[in-house]
Amino acid sequence: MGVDLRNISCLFGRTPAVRDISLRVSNGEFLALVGPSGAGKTTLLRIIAGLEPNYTGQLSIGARDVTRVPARERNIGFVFQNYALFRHMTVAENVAFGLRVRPRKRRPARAAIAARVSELLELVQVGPLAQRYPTQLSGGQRQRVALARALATEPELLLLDEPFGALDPLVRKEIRTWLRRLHERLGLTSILVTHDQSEALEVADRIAVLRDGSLEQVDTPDALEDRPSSLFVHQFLGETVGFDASAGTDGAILSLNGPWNGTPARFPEPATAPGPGPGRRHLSLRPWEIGLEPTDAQGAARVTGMGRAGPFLRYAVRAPDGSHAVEVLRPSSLPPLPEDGGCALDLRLARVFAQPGADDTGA
Amino acid sequence: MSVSPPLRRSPMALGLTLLAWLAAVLFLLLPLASLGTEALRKGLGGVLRALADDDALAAIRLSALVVAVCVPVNTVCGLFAAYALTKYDFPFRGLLLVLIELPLSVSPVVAGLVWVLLFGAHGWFGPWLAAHNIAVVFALPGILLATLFVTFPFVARTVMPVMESQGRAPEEAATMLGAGFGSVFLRVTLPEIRWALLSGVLLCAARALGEFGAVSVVSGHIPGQTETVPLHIETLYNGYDTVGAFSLAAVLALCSGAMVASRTLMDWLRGRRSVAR
Ligand SMILES: Nc1ncnc2c1ncn2[C@@H]1O[C@H](COP(=O)(O)OP(=O)(O)OP(=O)(O)O)[C@@H](O)[C@H]1O
Ligand SMILES: [Mg+2]
Repeated sequence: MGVDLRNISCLFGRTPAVRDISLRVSNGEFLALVGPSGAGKTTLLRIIAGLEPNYTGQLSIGARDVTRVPARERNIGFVFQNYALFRHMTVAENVAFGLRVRPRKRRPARAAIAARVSELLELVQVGPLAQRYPTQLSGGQRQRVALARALATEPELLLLDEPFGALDPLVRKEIRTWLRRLHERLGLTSILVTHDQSEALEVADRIAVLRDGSLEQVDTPDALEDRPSSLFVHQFLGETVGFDASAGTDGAILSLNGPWNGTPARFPEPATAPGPGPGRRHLSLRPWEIGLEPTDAQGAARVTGMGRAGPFLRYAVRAPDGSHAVEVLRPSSLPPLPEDGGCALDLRLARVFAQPGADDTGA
Repeated sequence: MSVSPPLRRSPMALGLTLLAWLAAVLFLLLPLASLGTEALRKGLGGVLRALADDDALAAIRLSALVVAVCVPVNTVCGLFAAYALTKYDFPFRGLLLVLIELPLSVSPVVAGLVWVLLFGAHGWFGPWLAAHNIAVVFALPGILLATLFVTFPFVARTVMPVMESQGRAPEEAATMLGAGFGSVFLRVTLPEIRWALLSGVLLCAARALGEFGAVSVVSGHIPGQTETVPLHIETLYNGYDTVGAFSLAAVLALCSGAMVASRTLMDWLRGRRSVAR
C-alpha cells in the first residue's frame, strides 16, 4: 500500500530530528532510506509506524489518513534492528503472536493459525526451527523469524530498520536479494533503512537520502548516481575524487584551481553545470571515471605509484607541484601507464556543483 | 560474555575460604542452632504448647494477614512503578526513582513515626480520625501502612533492571502486531520478567513477615490484638518466656529460610536452563 508523507516534522525537546519531509511511496515500491548516523532515518520510520506519536504533518497509508491512528491499528509489518523477538516464546509462538492477539471475531481458528505459521516459516526457510527459542538461533535465523512474525498479519506495508546490521557480509548479501524477491512475490510496499549504500543501490527501486532530518534527494539508484542534487549525495553514495575549478561566463569549466592549476584536462559540457555564469565549481567523480592520457605537456600530472585493485589498476596521481595526490582506478585491460610519466586528466564524466562556501559571482 | 579465569587453589585461597566458612558458622549457623536448642529445651511439647498459646496464634494470624495484604498490594504497585519508570520518560522521573528507594535508606523507626505523626492522636489527621471513630495508629491499619511503606521497594527494585535491559522493543513489537495495552502487558511484559518478579515477591514477603522497627512504633504492643510475630517474640522474651520466644523465633526463621531457599533454587534452576539453551 502506498504511503504519503506531507510536511512531517518531529522535535525531540528542542532539536528537530525530522524537518518538514514530504515523500510519496507508491504501491509496490521498494524504497531505501539512507543517510549518515543521526540523520533521522529511524525516527522517520517510527513515525510512519506510529511509534513516535509526537510529530506534526499528515500521513496517509493507502487511501486512509492515519495521522491520528494508533500504531496497533495501522497494520504495518515492522522489523526491528535488534529483532525484538519475544524471548519467552518459541519461534512458532513468536510468529503466531499477531494472529493470537486478535479480538475473537477476527481471530483465525487454532488449526488455521498453526497452518499459517508453518507456511510462513517455510517461506522464510526456518521450518525445522519452529520449536526453538530465539536464543537458540543464529543472527540470520533470528532475522528471518522476525520477518515471518511481521508478515503473519498480512501487512501491506513493511518497514525494516537496518535489518541486516548484525549479519556478516556474505549472509547479508544473500538475505537481501532474497528479501527483494519476497517483496515482489507478496506484492508488498517496503521501506528499508540502511546505512550501507551498496545495499540500498542493489535492492531499492528508489532511494531517499536524508541529512540532518531533511530530505536531500529521492530518486532511482541510476538517477542518484548520474545526477546527484548535491555534492553530499554524491559523496555519500560512494568513494569520490574532487577537484576545484573555475567556470566562464557561459558556465563552461575553464581550468582547475589550487595545486592542479594548469594541468591539462578535459571538462564536461557546460550543460551539466549547476547554473550559468562564471564562478567557482567543484568537480566530483568516482575514482574509475577519471581518464588518464599520457602526455609530455607542461604542467602535466604525474603517475607516482600503482597496484592492482580487482579488475582495475590503481594509480596514485600527483599534482605537478607534488603537493596533492588522488587515486584513480583504470581498467587493467588498458595499456599500463609508465611510472613517473606525465598525464592529462579526462574529467568529462564529472558531476559539477557550485563550490561549497563560494558565491557564484566570485573569482 | 566474558569468561572469568579458572579459580586458583592456593594456600592463601584455602585460608580465606576457611575463614569465610568460620564466619558463616559463627555468625549465622550458630545463632540459628542456638535458636533451635533453646526452643527445644523443654522438648517438642514445650514448643507446641508455646505455639498453641492464644496470643501466639493471634500474632501468627496477624502476621499472615499483613503478608497477605502487603505482598499483593506492593506487587501490583511495584510492578506499575517499575513499568512507568523504565518504559516511559516523564518529568521528575529521577525524583520518583529516589522516592522508591527511600524506604530502603530510611530507618524503620522513622518509617513508623511518620504514620504516628500523620494519624496519631496529636497528628495532622488525628482529630478528624478520632471524630469519625477510625483507629489507624495502634491498630491494624497503622501496622499495614507501616509494613507497606517498608516493603514497597522490593518488587520495583528487582524488576526494574530486567525491564530496563529489555527497553521498549518487545512492547513495541507486540504493539505493531496489533496487541492492545492489556495483551502486551500480560503476554509480553509480564512473562519476560516473571523470574525477577517472583524473586521480588519473595523478598517482599520475607520483609513483611519480619519487619519489627516500623511496626513496633505504630502497633502499641497490645498482645492478642496488635502484635505481629516479631513483636510478640519480644514481649515473650522480655517476660522471661524463653521457650515461647524461641519457638516463635524458630518458626519465623524457618519461614524466612524457606523463602530465601526457594529464591536460590529458582535462580539455580533458571541458570541451568539458560545454559541448556
Ligand atoms: N528518544 C529520543 N530522544 C531525544 N533525541 C532523540 C531520540 N531518538 C532520536 N533522537 C535524536 O534524533 C536524531 C535522529 O535520530 P535517529 O535515531 O532517527 O537517527 P538515525 O538516522 O536512525 O541514525 P543511525 O543510523 O545512527 O541509527 C538524533 O540526533 C538523535 O540523537
Ligand atoms: Mg537508526
